[in-house]
Amino acid sequence: MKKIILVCNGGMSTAMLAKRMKDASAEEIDVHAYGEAEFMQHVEGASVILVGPQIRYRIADFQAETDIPVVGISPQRYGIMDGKGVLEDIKKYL
Amino acid sequence: MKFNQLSDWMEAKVMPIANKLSRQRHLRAIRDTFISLISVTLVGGLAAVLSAAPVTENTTNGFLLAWAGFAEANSLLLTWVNTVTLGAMSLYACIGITHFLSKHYKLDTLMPVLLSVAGFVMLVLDPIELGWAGKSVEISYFDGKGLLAAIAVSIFTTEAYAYMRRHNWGRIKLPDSVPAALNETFASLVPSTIIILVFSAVFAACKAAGTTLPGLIYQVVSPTFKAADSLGFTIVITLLLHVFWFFGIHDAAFAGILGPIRDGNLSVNAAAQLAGEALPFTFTTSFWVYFVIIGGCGSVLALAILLCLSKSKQLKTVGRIGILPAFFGISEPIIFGVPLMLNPVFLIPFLLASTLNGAISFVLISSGLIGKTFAMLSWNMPSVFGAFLSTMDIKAAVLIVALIALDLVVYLPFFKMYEKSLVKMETESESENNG
Repeated sequence: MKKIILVCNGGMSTAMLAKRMKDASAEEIDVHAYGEAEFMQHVEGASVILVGPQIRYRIADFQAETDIPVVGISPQRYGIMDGKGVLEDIKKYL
Repeated sequence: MKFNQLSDWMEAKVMPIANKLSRQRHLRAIRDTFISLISVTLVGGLAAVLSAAPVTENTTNGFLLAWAGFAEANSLLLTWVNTVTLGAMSLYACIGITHFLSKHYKLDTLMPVLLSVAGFVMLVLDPIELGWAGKSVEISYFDGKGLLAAIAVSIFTTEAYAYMRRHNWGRIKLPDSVPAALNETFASLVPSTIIILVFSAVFAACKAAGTTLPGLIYQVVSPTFKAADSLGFTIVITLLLHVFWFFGIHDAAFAGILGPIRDGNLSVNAAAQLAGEALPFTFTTSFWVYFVIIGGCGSVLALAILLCLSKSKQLKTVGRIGILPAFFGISEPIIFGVPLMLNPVFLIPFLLASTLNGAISFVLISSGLIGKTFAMLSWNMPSVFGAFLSTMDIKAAVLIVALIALDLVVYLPFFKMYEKSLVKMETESESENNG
């Protein structure tokens, strides 16, 4: 099963998006949301790490710590919690 | 066009600041610690709420009277639970900061944590009597008043430990047959001894001066904390955080600085509440979460209501998705969905709504018209309930409703302006499709 990790400050608002992405993939993809302080412990085996737009300024730092691609979530998709759209955006990483 | 240039320029200036602030290792460790402390402080807050049954001499309601009876019969238990949770916040902060900072240095966290706790206990507890028959110590500085000492101890311990380990201070070359774990223990002996000796020296110096480390620090910085508990500070900090959010940047970058102030103030208030004393502080974590940012940063709950009633399909969709999260204090869907971020139409209300909430609440609370906060339940508790439970003053809940109405008025004209342009676009594209 493919795995995707979502990161925001506390893992709160990304959790909503994670659920929608999971639903949009018909539960085919394992999607988890974590806070910035803890997500690194959970990235093993993930295909891609998605970063909430509110902490997009951290992307370069995160990428420096891991080989897994770290990608920002489009603010527009994030705003309407468009799980399907986000999955489309990141197709090439899966 | 002009605005785009300006916002690009500003973003180029603001993003590096946010990044620098959130990368700074000490601020980051402090911030991660205060996020982790919530579960402990919540229990302390509950104990404080339970002990504060809203009864007067004229109360006849059976439930409230039973509650008051329970609180009185269990006052020792409730006070003790609060004292060792919210009221011992400095100890937990000391452990947390050491843990996160050690992880930053990729150190095994146990040893630094042990040393930090040793230093904290030595410097923050004040021994009264250490006799054979019994020992008693003074623990008053375990609450928010000891936070700065806790931060100092944890940062000193971890930095010193990491430095000495990096430079192999006192590492003895042992034969290969010695188990690795034992080798590690020996390697930490010299750094540990040096650190504890430093603590002992600080203790002796403070004692000679007739005080304790937190007592000394508190004396020096308490004017700063008092200055932070003011209308001016509330307005400035609210504006500043919202400027960051206007660029869609989370205010977490500031939590390393704001956390100790607002959480520290809260724990001092809680201790005062349980002791039956007047509460000293207005600006606390609960003040910020429940009174200033109603619906999350930007105070978007009022706007969410407007969005749900909108004639524009797009705005209505965003409103429907965002109103429930906003009710629970999460504003990201609205901020990125409308979007409010970098949207010149909403700049004024976005900054103004929370600032007005903060200023009005500060004046009413600090003047005593509405009770001060002494508990923090959850960042996601809806403001109306959070404001009531953290003050046990029903007037606080009324104030929140009034502030939501005020935010509605603040957002309304700008919302109308934006809605009009969207509706026009939507009808145009529809008629194009139909044509």
